[in-house]
Amino acid sequence: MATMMFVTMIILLLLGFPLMVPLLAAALLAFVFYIPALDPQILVQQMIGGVKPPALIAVPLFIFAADIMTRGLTANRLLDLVMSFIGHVRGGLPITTAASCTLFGAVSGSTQATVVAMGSPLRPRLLKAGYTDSFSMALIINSSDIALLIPPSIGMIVYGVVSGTSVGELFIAGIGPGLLILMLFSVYCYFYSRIKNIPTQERRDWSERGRALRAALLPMGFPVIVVGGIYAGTFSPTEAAAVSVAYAVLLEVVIFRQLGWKDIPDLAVSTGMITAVVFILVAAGAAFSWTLSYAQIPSLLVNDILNLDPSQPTMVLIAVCAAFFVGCMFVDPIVVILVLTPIFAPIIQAAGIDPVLAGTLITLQVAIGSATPPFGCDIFTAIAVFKRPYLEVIKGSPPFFLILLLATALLISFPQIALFLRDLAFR
Amino acid sequence: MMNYLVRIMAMADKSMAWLEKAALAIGVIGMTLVSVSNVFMRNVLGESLTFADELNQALIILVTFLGVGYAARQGRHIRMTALFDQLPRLPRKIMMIVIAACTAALLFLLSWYSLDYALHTRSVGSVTPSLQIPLWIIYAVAPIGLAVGGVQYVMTLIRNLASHDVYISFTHTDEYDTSHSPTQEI
Repeated sequence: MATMMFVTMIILLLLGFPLMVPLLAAALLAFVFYIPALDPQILVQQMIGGVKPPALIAVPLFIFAADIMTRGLTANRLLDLVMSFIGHVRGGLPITTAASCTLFGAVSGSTQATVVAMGSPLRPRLLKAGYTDSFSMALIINSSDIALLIPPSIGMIVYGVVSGTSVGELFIAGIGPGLLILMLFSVYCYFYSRIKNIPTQERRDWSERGRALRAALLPMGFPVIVVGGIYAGTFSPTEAAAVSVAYAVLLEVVIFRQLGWKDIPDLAVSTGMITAVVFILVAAGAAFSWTLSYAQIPSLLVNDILNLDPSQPTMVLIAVCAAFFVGCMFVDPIVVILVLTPIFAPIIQAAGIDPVLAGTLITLQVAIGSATPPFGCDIFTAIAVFKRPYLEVIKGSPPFFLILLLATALLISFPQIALFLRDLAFR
Repeated sequence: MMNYLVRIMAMADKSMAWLEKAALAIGVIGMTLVSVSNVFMRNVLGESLTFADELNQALIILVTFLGVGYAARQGRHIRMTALFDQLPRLPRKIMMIVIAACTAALLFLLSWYSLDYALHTRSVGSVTPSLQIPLWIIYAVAPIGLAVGGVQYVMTLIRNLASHDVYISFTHTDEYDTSHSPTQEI
């Protein structure tokens, strides 16, 4: 039955069916052939149950906030701020790119939104400064990975809900690894531009910096609300999301006046559609996972086929990382998290691994996987936005990929990178 | 003949699209208002809104299921198109017809099951804990939304049969659209 479900899913997936079809068709076939005694109504019940957890409301709210801000001035002002302070150092432009993606990650919860919002203004500047296109695109795609680790993070919300882990703790735990990757990327960019001898940018004087800082002061309120609010225990992630939307409206409609009240319904429709696209997958994933666990496939897979030994937590973590990473090379991260988390959750628990550490690592893996060939979804976003051929988009990736693997190894060896802030805030 | 059919469908589709848009906008703005008021109530007045969670649940179910049709119309459901895109026009078109037909069939079937489920909930008579809204009214969104999604894929199929280009939805051809806003690229 497990074979049938996975084979059906993979074939339909490769043929180009909308992602909900492989999940639902596999579950439905399992009902028809293997568990005919059960009423297929259960699938619908699971689908509705899958989108119902109150913590998931944070997802549309964060998407809405990001949607309002990308249409407004926030994204550009954050970019200008980073640019004015570090644009002039060696490798300053690529480091600015990585740092802006990180900062934008504190505003938006998805890697693909970051590719578009930061990549569109930065790629022309990188090219003009003398960086190759494949380096620039790889930099943008991989830096956007950081956005998934920096709170808010849609991947972490879904993981938290599916595995029953605190979303707030996950958010805080993502900051350390996110900054670590930013640092490693910056070091690489520094040496890259040094070796390629690419001229540096003009240094901005302090009056320009002051102006950029003032302009970015209000947009900087987002990290304060999201990170500060959750860190201090004032807000739950869902509340932080709600306050973000209110703040985004206040900023863009009332203060900057970049958007009018009449734009809000249109933005709500676009947010609603993205939400539906994600949530129908959450629903289908819930139905699929329920069918799997009803047939006790997760324990079969983990204990008998993969033969994982819970007394070796490091091995378990590596296996978990590999599974999520490979999954995201092919499919959308949300689907991977929905399908694989229930499979691996029992062994993670049995091995005594901190679920927050596991969640942070998994988020990192899905982020790397979505930027990795053959089918990582960020690559296709980049192809669509930058209109460059596939091979050129992925050509510059290997160094970044190695750095991200290094970050994974560091995180497995030194879990405190993720857990230090969490322990400080919650323990 | 085929073209008349397409034209009539296009007209019906426009009003349907308007209704779906209204539902999505109400859903998202509603969630925002409920959540923001709840934060205000809890942190300022010290008392949470008891109905915030159940209202949000109803709204997210509304957005999820009614959004299926809207996203299908825009050709925005996530697909793994790496192999699909490599095909020449004709096989791609045939594949799209097969995909539309199967997806429509699956959505109709699920719509039927969810109708069963909604009716079952109605016969049990369960209500939400604080507002006492009958649950079946909320769940009835699922069969409607899934059926509307199914109809969209049938229309995609007809559009592909009636025209030369490869259509990934009733209104959108199969090419990258770069005019949309950044965050729509979730």
